Amino acid sequence: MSFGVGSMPSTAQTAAVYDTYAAATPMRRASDFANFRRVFDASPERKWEVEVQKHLLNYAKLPAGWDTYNSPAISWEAGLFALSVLNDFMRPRTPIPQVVPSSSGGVQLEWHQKGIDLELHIAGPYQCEFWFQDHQSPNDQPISLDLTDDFSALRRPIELLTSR
Amino acid sequence: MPSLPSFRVPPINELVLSLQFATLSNLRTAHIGLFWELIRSKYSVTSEQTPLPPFFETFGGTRIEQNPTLRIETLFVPPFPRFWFENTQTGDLLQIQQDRFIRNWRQSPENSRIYPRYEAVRDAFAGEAHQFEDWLGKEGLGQVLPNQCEVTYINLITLPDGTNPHQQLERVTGLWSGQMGPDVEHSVENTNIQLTCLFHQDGKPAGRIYANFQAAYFTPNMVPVVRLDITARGKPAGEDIAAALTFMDVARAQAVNTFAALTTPEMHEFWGRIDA
Amino acid sequence: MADVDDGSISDATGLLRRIRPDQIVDDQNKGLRRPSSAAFKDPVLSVDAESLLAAHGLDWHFSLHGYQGYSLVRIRAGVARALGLAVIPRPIPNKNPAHTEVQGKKTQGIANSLVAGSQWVHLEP
Repeated sequence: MSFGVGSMPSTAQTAAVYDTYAAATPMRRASDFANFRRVFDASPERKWEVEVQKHLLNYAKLPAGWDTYNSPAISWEAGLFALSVLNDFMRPRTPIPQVVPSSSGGVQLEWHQKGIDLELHIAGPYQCEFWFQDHQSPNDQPISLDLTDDFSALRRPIELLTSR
Repeated sequence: MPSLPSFRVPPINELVLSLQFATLSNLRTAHIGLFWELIRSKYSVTSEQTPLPPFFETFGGTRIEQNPTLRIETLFVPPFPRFWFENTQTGDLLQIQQDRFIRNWRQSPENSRIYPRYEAVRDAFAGEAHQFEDWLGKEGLGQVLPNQCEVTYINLITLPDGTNPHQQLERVTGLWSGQMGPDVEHSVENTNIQLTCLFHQDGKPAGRIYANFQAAYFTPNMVPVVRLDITARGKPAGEDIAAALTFMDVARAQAVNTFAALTTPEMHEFWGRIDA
Repeated sequence: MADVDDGSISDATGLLRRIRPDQIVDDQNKGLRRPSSAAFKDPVLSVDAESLLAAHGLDWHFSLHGYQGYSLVRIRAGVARALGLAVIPRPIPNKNPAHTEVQGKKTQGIANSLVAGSQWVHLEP
């Protein structure tokens, strides 16, 4: 098994250019400029990434029928998409989600703490269901949404989980 | 629709059209040999490369670091490589992996090909993508269900007077002023700039532009150049090749407009801008 | 066998489902461990109907037999039907006479309602 952090997109990688200034890859990663980020947001450890990857790698090994019923194998792409979404929202103080394999073949990220229930079910890339309930809110009704590429709905719940 | 910026002699060195789709898990290395037989008269040389990780453009959060990814090597199934198929006469390249189909038009140092323009490359890509899709269907290996498209322009920029652009990036792009305060007398050796932008369609975020200025050397003669890569990427509206091509056209327009916006009037004149 | 809910399994009948350890979540809001809604997302959700188990002289131990480490929840058939789901007996000959399917799309709302309506029959420590 190996883990990695993806680099800047460079599908070409074929141009006839000899580059003396960059490192081994033609393009520098945004994390190479971490010194210019606010210290509050800089998170060299990214513990959440290690924890979530551990679960996803285990689930990737599960064969069909892993739940003793007729579950399909867990979608590898669902796991990758989950990582991508978390990458845009997780901060150093955000609690790490519980990562659960779904009986429909996806993965589910969930938080049940600080009076908040937040679930993001990911069946595959751009096939997500959002579920959020704030038990400390006067309007304690759950919000349920289908999400594809716009995850703005996650902002407020993650902010609450991070700051409460 | 407003016309796009156009140049008589653009500094383009490579154009890459990339289609990402749901993994074809039944596609095995052995099958690729069968597909190669269909395209061998055009792409006579093949080789294997490390597979590219998938990318997903999502919105609403704050992307501070690049996408994390996972590489997995199981005990039972070796990782599927990225296959290169090269046309040794033109330098064109087809790249195939289980979740990607990519076509590269490449400037050849040997014969200095004239850039045929996006439309010609796109039409060739479309034909080959459909050929691949048809072959997958006949072999029972699955369907191409695109979930991401990408258009990348790689430009190698020199200055009109032949001087070193590494120390004069301000002549290439307005993003860099070249000015430092009076407290030091440093001489700039080189400057690299990286930029990420959102673009919108119908008032909603539709994709991202990644632009990167980097000091480099053109290998054949070690001439100093500024390499400007512009990638436009996003999710097509539908899960078929036609929808992917429609998005690629949008991405291309975004990339070309960005190229014109990021480069200076001096360079536009050098490249022979004809739409202004 | 008809693919319709003929009501032969009464609303009061318990439907038993095995839960893997990694589908059990810590709910700090309630101070307990409970099944994740992800355990109920299958559009054709397999369960064992207790009425059918009883008819064959069996009980919940049958549902866990051979599945070490698994926990077991019970949901009343009426809870599933109230969510618009169909409860359809589907015995597997020579293997499971109580096998039943809870059919229908399980949105997050429906899956969470199934969680809310469930109770542990056996919770592995």
